[in-house]
Amino acid sequence: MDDNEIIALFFARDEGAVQAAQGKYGGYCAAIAQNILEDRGAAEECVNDTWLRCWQSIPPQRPDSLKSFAGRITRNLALSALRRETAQKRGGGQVSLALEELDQVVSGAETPEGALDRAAFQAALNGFLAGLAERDRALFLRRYWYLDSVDALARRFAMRPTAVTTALHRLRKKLRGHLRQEGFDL
Amino acid sequence: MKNCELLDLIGEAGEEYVRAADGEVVRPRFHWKAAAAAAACAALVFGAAYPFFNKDAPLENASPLHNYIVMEGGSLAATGEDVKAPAGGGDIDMPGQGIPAPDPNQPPRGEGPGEPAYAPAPSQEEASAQYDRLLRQLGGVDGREPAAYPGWFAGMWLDSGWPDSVSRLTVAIVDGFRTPELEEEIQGWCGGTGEVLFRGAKYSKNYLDSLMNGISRIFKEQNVRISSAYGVYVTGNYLGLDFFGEAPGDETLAALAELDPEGDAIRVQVFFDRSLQVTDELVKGPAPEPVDPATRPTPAATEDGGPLPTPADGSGGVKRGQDAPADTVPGGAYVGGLPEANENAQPAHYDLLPLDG
Repeated sequence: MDDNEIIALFFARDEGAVQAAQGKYGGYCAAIAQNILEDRGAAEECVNDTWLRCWQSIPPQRPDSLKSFAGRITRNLALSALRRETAQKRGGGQVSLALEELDQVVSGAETPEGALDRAAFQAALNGFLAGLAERDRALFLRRYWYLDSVDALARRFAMRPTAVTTALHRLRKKLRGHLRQEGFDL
Repeated sequence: MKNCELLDLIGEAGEEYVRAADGEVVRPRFHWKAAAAAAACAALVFGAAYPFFNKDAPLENASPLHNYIVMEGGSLAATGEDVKAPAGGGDIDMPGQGIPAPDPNQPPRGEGPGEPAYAPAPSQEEASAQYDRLLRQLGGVDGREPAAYPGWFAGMWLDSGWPDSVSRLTVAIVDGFRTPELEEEIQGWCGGTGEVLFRGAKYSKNYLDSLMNGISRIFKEQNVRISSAYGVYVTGNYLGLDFFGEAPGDETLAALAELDPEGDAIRVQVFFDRSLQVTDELVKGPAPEPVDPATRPTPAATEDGGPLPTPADGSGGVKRGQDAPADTVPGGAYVGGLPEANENAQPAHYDLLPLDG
């Protein structure tokens, strides 16, 4: 069943849409949640919440790619869940490591409410990604969107872990320069 | 901005990029161009460094050398490295190339059943006529070879005529061209009643002839001064190249190997036997010392009784046979028999001294 047929089921308010989406993208979403939460039970719960969000969002939204749509929801839900669980402590896991790494990009100061133009930032981010080589772009997103571990990246890209770390450091530095050039005082 | 905010914002990355990042793994590229350039540079560096660091070492196997056979005294030299017999050269014609090897299926002349020790020359009339007819058919004029033979033609010759003392024409056909139809056609061209024999061959006559041009070119380019001779031997289906007194250098052998990659189209032999060296000294002997006309001896008489030359000093005069001393005759023989024993017989050359009054 392709995405359009699944989305059509969502629009028809057919509960079979959730089963079809779970069957097709359940594994994908579970992997994202697992990367962030590092807990199988929490990840499964996160994925179930993903389909609930999809049921609530479609309609009115009609995503071009159900996979990306569901994955993005999973990521946001997993990050929110992680924040709730680690509100009292800085736990381990890839999110903590990724956040430490991203500290090199940002100042850490509070951003005043409404001071950030999210749309403009999204455009600047996409401009940064567009300027990267295909392999570097994939490496960056696998680390900071999918929250893959360094070891997983090393296996995926056939690189040594140290080479992955070095490449990510170079990409963060490049992102900081690009965002500043675009007028974002991070 | 806090890091968690940035992490959230990264979640807003373009959908196509996010999808692509989940797609095929992009493996590190192998930079063929860079690798090839590096390899070429390395080859240049090592190639240039080798002769620099190995000035005394010859560049062995830089190029293949043609085989050659060393001949001494008309036979194959038996010493190790001097013998560089070609691979598969077991049927080398001995003692000299150009002489067809005896047919192993035929006994030597004079040893055939009922054949006398010195058999009469075989009859070649029929085979010769067939030879001429085939040569004309192939484009020959007045007994001369055509400028080029057909591609199947590897040569023709008359055999030894054993066992019936009648020579037969043998025609060599290049392998791959030999078919019963072609043999039948050749037999028709030859005409006559005599049977034409056929034999397979590896190289065409045209090819072997062309090798002669190649050898001439090599000799000219390399200014080869070694006494040599070469020619096509159709019975052996090779071009024989003989060097006399000195082996060819590696440069020449390398050029010959290039000309004859399989090493069996050209048979190179080196003769070190002085009797086989054709030089001016051996043929003509040492140049004579100049003779002063005043001291040049005059023969006593000419064999045909003609006038004797007059000595340069005017002495003696011309004496004819009847004027010669009675005890002398041309050749210095004594008239009246040989000297008796214990007589002082003079050496013969005394008889050739100028005659005086």
